[in-house]
Formats: sequence, structure tokens, C-alpha cells
Amino acid sequence: METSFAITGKGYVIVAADTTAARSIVKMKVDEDKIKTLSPHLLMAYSGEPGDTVQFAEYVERNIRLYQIRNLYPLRPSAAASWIRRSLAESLRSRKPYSVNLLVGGYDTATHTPHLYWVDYFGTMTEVPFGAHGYGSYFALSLLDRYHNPEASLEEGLATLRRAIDEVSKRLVVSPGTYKVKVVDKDGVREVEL
Amino acid sequence: MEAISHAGTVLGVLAKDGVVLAAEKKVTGKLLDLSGAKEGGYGGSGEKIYLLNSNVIGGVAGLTADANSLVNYARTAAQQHLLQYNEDIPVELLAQRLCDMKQGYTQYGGLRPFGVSLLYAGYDPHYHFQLYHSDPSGNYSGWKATCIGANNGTAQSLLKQEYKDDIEVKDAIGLVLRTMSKTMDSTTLGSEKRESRRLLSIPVHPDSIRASFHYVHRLPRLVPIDPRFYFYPLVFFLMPPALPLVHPILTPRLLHRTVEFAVLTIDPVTKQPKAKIYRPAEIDALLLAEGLTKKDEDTEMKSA
Repeated sequence: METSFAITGKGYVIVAADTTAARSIVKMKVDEDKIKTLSPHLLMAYSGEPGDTVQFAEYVERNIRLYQIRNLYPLRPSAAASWIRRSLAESLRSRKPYSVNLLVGGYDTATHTPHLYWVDYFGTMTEVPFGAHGYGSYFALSLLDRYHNPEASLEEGLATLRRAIDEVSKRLVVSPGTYKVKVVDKDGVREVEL
Repeated sequence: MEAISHAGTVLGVLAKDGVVLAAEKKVTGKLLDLSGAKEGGYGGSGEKIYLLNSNVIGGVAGLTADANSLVNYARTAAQQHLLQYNEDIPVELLAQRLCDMKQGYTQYGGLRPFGVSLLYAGYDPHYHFQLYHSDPSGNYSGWKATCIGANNGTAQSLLKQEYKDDIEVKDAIGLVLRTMSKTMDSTTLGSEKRESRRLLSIPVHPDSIRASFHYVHRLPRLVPIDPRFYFYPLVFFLMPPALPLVHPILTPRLLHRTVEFAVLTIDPVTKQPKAKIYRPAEIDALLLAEGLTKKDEDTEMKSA
């Protein structure tokens, strides 16, 4: 089942999401990228109702891009996350709400700090040092509680993430096979292999 | 544009650790009730310097009614940004918002543009402290030190001479007040003042006061005129020449009535921008500390 993680470290945020696209009990696809690059220093992992997820992610992507073209500076992670949260909260009270859960991670180039926001489809938003969505979160969060270090280097951060993913693979009945992992830091966004 | 060049001067200086704004008020007088200004809200008399947002102070020069409308617009725009993005609006963005609107009024027929120039003194994490100026046509530009309103050329060249790139707020305050006191023509009073007094005591209508004021200013070898003449023409007219030109009872404090002052810095505890718009009493203290009030009174007494 769908699972996504994100952890912050010293000057970076790692975002990981599984790559399965499933319908009912059938895996339709195993190389789906569920992490959008919203701006040079902003990542968003999305999960939830298929269709809604892509629709909403593209809507967000276009709006963040528009802001960047129209104004002088790109949105900072906190401002972008607040805008996304508001969009979800407004959608929740509409006739057909989006049911999408998000992890928004970014590097603030103005203050040189990494930020991670956990957002769910009710429009809840919290800034967290690490976060997860989906069934995997039940296993990963306790593990990250124990092993997460906000001062960890990227290598240590990736090792912690690998630990969380291994734990999920070991314990979860319907564990996803593969993950896509992206990192955002002062140099921008890049994909890494675990 | 014409209205702005007659409006009270507004000066802004960008420092390393803050921004300083000062403004000369034109609407003053013995009968004007300023009691509200003493107690009122966040300080200042609310005539020329306004808090636009928690990170931006605005100084206006031009038509007051137009300025009020723009200030209102700016505050609304800043709050809309806060609501939408949960952050203080970046300073340049706020300037841009206002300029987008101002530009609109230059393009369509049947509407009069806003007769207001603004200075924006603000802070945001992108570019830290900033100072912007916008004019009625919707142009805006960033400055290290600038000036709008009457005598802005004089002030600008003074600032140009004295400005240093790594100036700190405490020095910027002195620079602003000194420049202000020079452009307001309220430094020393020379012997020719009787001459100027005569010229200034004639008018009745405020506009004609202004006219003669500028006329005098243009005469060669005429010492700058104390703004008090402007405010108490009748008093001077009635006074015998032997009396001190500036009657001590009539001028309890010179500059606080005529200057508004504000500083934007970073609060050392919260690390958030902190805007301080000075109250009249605080401006007095500041002027005293800078030696500007004292000096005036001394020379006045001597010359009497």
C-alpha cells in the first residue's frame, strides 16, 4: 500500500515515496513518480485517492510556478506549504474535496534552513523533523523517533531512511517494493539511489 | 507631481541594521487638536508615517486624502498576503502591489492618478532591510537614502554627501535628523530674518503663505527661514522688533510639532522586524540627544 516518508537533517530534506500505482488488489505500475518538484528548492510527495493526487499536485505545481514567474522571488517553503494547506482546506468544504495527503519538504534559500511540513487531506499542517503517510507510517514513525538526528549528515540521513524502509518491508503485509528518493538542499533538488 | 514637490519632506535612510524614516509635517497650528496623536495607537500623529505591516513602515508625501486610500490599500494587500501565505509580505512585493494599482490610474481616461509619493522602509528575509520609493505614475526604485517632497533635491544632495555604505542605525538617525533640520530651514537664524519675517507675515491664506515661503527661499543671500514663521505669522507680525523673534513661551518645542520619525530594526529577542514610530515626547528626547533643539534655542537667544 502507498507509503511515503520524509526526514530533515543538517541542511537537507530527504523525501521518499513508493513507486506503485495500484487499483484494488492489482499493481498497475511499479515505476510511478509520486514526488513533484514544485520549485528549484521544493519537493512534494503526494498520496491518496488516485486521480485526485495527480490533479491536485499539478494544480499546486502550476500555481507555485505562476507565483515564481509573476513575482520577484519564489515562494519560501513555509509560504508554499501554507498556500497548499489553504487550498486543501478550501477544497475540503467544497462539493468534491480532494483526498490527498502530502509531505512538503524544501530548503529556504532566504534563511538557509531545511523545512518539512506534514499535510493531510483535512487541511492539517504541522512542521515536523520527520514525517510519514500511509500504512508504512505505523512502523516508520517509532523507528524514526528512535534514530532521527536533526544534525545528521546526508549519508546518516539516508541510512536512517533505509532502516525505516527495511522495517516496513519486513513487517507490513502489503509492503511496496521500490521507492523513489529525492533530496533537496542548498544546491536544489536531486534524485538519489538508496 | 506638483502637489508632491510642495508636500512635507519625507526622508529615508537605509542602514546596516535598520531603516530610518523622518517626515516634516505641514498641517500644524496652535488650534489644531493633536491630543489624539499623543495617546494614539502605535505612536506618531498619523499624518505622514504609517505602519503598513509589521515589517513595513510607509512615509507619504502628497495629497493626504489620496495617501489615506493608498495606505489602506497597502495594509489590505499585506494582510491578504499574510492570510494566503502565512508570512509577512516581502517589501518589494508590497511596493509592486501599490505600483500596479497606481499605474492603472495613468492608463484609463476619466480618472485622476493618486497624487502621492511613498517611501517604504521594510525588512524581509529575502533582501533584509530595504528602502523603496514609488511615485504617482507607478514607478518604483530601491534606495540607500532618498527623499520625497519639498526641497527633495537639497536633501538628496546632502544625503549623497554624508551617506556611508556601512552606516548603522544610530548614525543614520543623526544623519536623518540633521538633513531634515537643514532642509526644513530651521538651523540658525541670521540677521536678515527681520526681512524674511516681513515677507512671511503678510499672507492669510495657507496657499499664499506657501507661495511667499518659496519666494523667499529663492532669494539670494537670504538665510533659511524658521518654520515657526510659517506657523505663527500673526504673532510675529504683532511683535515689536526688539523682542526675541522666537518667543520662548510660544515655542515650547520646535521640532516635535513638525517632525514625524520612525525606525525599523530587528528585535534582538524575537529576531522579528520591529517598527517603532516615535511619539512627540520621544522625538523631543531624540532631538535633544542629537543636539538639534538646544542649538536652535541657543542661537535664537543670542540673535535676539
